[in-house]
Amino acid sequence: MDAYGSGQTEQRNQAIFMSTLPIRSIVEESLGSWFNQNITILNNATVSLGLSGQARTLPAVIIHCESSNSPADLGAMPLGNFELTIKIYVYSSADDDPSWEVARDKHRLRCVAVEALMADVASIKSNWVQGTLYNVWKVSDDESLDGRRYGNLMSYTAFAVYDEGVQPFSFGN
Amino acid sequence: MSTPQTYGTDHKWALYDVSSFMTLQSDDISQSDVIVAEVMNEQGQVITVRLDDQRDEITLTGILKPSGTVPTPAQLIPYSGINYIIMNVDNAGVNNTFRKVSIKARKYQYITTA
Repeated sequence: MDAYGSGQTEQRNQAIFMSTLPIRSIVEESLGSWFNQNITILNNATVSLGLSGQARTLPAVIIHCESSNSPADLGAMPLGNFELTIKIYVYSSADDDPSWEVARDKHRLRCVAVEALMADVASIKSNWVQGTLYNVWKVSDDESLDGRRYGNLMSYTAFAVYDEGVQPFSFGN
Repeated sequence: MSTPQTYGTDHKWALYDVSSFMTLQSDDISQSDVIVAEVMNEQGQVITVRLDDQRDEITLTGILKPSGTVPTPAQLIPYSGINYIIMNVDNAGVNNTFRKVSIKARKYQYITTA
């Protein structure tokens, strides 16, 4: 028997629901909101979040908070602070335009637009859904070609903290 | 039962100010008093201490801007609301990266640098 009583183990494992958001969800929802407000400069791309069951069609921008670490400066007491690695995937099809050159140029403009959105730290902060974003900056941008699909992987580092106040949480189904 | 952590403690992030001639990378601020007058009792134990004549010392490092003019010793450099007297300037470059400037400066408590 576990803490939830006999027969509740499977239910417990299905999901732990908290009224507050886990840090990865805060990152992805905040950036998703900011990107969707500026969807026009992404030239018809669909913005989706990392571990989403949403169907993805090209062109696509996928925001995924890949890793969440304790800041080294805070040692053994991270106190709800996080060093985060954010991966942004930009995919475009070479067949969406009259020529592959046009498709490639549009793809690269999408990447430039992503970079511009991520460089506007003040706006990202104002769209942060919970807690505080200290800062976010670009680490790398790698381009590749897979079949007839262009893809860029843009990596960012961010530092953020949960809300100061204790948030309510509950265990649900 | 353990509970999820749902709150954080906010901390001061990064630098207090910016620089006009370089892209600031770090600051290092220290404060101390030069006069430390200790009064001892008959057993040689310090029972009173008087501190005075404070020094505020700062080290700023950054990457030089193309139009930036590197200041010289004895000039003033403002940082975070205080005008410091520049004591030392290091200006270093190598052929495969940016040019780095390091400024050491001091504020004397009884010298007005406004």
